[in-house]
Amino acid sequence: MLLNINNFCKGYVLLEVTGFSTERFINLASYNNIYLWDIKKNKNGVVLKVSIKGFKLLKKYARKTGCKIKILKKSGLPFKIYKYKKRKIFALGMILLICLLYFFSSFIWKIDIYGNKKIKSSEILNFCEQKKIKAGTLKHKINIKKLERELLENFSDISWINIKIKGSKMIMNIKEIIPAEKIINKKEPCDIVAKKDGLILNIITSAGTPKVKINDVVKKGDILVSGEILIENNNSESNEPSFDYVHADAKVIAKTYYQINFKIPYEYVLKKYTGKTQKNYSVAINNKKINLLSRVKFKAYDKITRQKNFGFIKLFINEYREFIPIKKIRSISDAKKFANKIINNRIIREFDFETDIFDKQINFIDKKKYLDVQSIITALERIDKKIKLQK
Amino acid sequence: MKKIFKVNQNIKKKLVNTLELPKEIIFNLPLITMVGNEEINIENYKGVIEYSPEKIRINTACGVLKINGEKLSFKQITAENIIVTGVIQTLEYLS
Repeated sequence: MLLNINNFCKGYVLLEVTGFSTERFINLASYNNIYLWDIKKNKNGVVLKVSIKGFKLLKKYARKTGCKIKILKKSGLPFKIYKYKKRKIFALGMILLICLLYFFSSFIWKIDIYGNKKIKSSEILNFCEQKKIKAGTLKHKINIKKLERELLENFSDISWINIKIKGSKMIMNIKEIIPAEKIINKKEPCDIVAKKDGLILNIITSAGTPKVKINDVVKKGDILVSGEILIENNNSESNEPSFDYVHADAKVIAKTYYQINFKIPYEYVLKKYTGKTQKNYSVAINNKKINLLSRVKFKAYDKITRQKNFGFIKLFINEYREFIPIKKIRSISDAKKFANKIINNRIIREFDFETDIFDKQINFIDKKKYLDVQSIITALERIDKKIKLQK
Repeated sequence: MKKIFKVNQNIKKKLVNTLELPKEIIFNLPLITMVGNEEINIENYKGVIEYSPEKIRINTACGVLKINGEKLSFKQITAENIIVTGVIQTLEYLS
């Protein structure tokens, strides 16, 4: 096998030797240190293989012994190279390909981050960009150990980080710190105060002395349940009361009120899309933006921009959608419906998940140009909040 | 003169036998290695006399070595050794 590869690299010729005394020819060749192999008998004479170097010497011995030599096949690398010698562009292309492959593989093209849950990938990438490491930087410019250290110093939530460069990809493996749970010390005495203003609806105390009753109106910061407990001492002779301090615990539900006020103008603009769109592209290299086709034919349009990153080259695809603005006037009933929708949306967005909506009171005041909406939302929610008791 | 040479040869033989020197080097004899009936390696040969797929005759220092068989061919020929492959049936010395 190894010998075969060696022969292939050096190149060899398959010969057919015909004549009266082929044995003498073989003897002469081997005596003069010409290496012959795979010698076989043929119909005409003897078929043998010989190296290119040996072949040149063989001619002399063939003449001496009166044998005729005929080349059946030329094989090996030197003949292949000779064949492709004339194709200069092909060779140039090969060299160019190898050069380009080397050139492009010396950049980082992608940064992958694994194992981050709390820290956003974009934050890490932004930090890397500040340190001048992003898609498109040269590989050998990156100091991995330094970057690891900097990331660990900058992000306190990272407990372990491993960065490796695989081909043109940078892989960051991150392990985050698992935060220790806040331990509530049940032995520490505390009070419960109100988080918000409200009307007490329900109070369930499991520890402590309640200071408010149902239907009491409380303000923010009022003590609802005190951690102070009065111990009645019947046995002792002195009537002085003694106190004990506990970790107050209670569930206080109160009615709270919120005001939502806004105006709805009767006149509004409706976008009627014509369905005509136009696209144009712009390219940014190192944050320098170049517009390729910049004229927009439409008078009024929405612009939608999509961004694609190819290393340090960014491609922006802008799509313009034409519309015709139409001025319209709402009726009062439409405006009221619209107001209801806005209020419902705001409740969903702004209120806590556990909060129940008890009542909605909406007043509409019809002004000439707009509808004035004033609403009061009544909600049921927990307003208890623990505060450390100060002795 | 011939006598001296003969005596010389005898002394040489005794010397080689007692010292256990490799005979093929001292007497220029062929060293034949065979792998089953498929391959035969002959070192220290003098030349090829005849070659056909059924019969090969090789000249050596101790006479002509005749190989009979089927599909015989030379795998390799150099100045030192010769390798014959094929189905080897008989090997004989013709002196």
